Amino acid sequence: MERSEFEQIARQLREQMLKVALDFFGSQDDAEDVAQDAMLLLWRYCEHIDSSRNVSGLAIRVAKNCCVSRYRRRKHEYCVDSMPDISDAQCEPLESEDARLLMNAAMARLKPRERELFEMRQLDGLSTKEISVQTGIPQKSVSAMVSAARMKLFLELKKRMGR
Amino acid sequence: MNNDDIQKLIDRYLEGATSPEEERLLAGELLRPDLPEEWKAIRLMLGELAMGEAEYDALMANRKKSPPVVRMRLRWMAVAASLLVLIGIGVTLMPSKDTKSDIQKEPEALVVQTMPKVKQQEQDSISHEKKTPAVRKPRTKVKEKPAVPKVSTVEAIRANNSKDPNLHYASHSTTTDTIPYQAPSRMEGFIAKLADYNHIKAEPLDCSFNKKDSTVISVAYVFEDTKELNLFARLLQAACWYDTKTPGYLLNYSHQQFFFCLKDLRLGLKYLWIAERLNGKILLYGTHSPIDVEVSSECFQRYRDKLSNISSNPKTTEI
Repeated sequence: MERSEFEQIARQLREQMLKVALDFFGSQDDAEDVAQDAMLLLWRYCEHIDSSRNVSGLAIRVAKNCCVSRYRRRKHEYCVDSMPDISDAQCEPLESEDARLLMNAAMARLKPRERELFEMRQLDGLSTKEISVQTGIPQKSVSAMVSAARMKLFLELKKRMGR
Repeated sequence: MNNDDIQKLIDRYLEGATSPEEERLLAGELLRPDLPEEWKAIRLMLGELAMGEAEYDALMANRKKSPPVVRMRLRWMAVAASLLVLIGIGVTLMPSKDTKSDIQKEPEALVVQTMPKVKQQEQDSISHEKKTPAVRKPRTKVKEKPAVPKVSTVEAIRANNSKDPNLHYASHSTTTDTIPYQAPSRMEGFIAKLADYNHIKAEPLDCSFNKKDSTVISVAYVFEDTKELNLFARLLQAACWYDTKTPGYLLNYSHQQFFFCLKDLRLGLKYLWIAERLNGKILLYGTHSPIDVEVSSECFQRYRDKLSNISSNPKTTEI
């Protein structure tokens, strides 16, 4: 998606993300902060977002993630401030960078088409039918390709995690 | 859901037979901390987005499970609020000789005393803000610095900030320049001065889509995130100096990030500034280019990644 395209729908996306955050925190201040964090996150990755996909759905998912991040961060701050002896694991705020690198390395093993279909499912949360409509690939083939991608990833991750 | 059910769902997931709803359900089940290694791989595959969403939904569902306390509180709050309103009305309507006579004598004086007349330009500015709800208005959160008037003369701004003449965003303005034209380049100049004063070097970035497009000028600064510098408040103050009617005006900020856009229609340029708190530092990125030239955000992303990889604790990296 081009930046200019993104700017056109930015306001509408922000409204949606603000609502998600407001439902979660019940505070306008927190909601504004989350909407801003989510907005910047989307802006940073907007060149990787396919505009034909469900951008609104993605924005809501990103906003939910930002809510959880903020919630965890706050919980973590509380742990650090009030319980200095608590173990790191209990206050672990976010997914580790190692896990992310592991996933990226495993993703690199996929064919471009497999990767695309996997991401349409993973990032956009599209159903097999929706993917079929968008890509023109028959539903059965979509299922088979998604399954192949998932099996490859699973085996690769298992292998790497066992090291 | 017991372990067998979860395993069956995982098998169906690997076969590509699950629906998005079932995958959300699976993500929710995999939120538990004591997962076998194999299931951890599935959690990774479902992705941070799905896991974060599942956690969000789980937290929301937990809250809905315990509504009686909230409802009770809300009910009491409603009762208390009604009482306050009633008391307020009672006090307002209570006859008071002094007030009554004052109002009767000089109604206009009272209005002038409590509500100074707002200039037409300011009224326009306020009505404009109301029309654009997506543009965030500066909140009371940053109160350390006095609010800068949005519409004023350059001289007045200079006079107001005579205590810190070297580091003010309007300090290098010329008297020939009149408001409402407020050159976006001043923001850039202000940042450059601030960096220079703090001995921070500007790192040039190539953010053009077409390689080495000299019309796209991008730089990054890495400031220390200190209370003394208070960079976020300074940036916000500088941004608030601009009239919200300035072309391309878009200001968004949180405790973590600052995002500001402007356009200069006289020079045909667009400007963007992003500041972000990152591991005890503030990464400040600024770019300007001709309005019709597309600028890539990749360079900023790369620089940010480089910076966060050098100095971050991976366990605290954000989603």
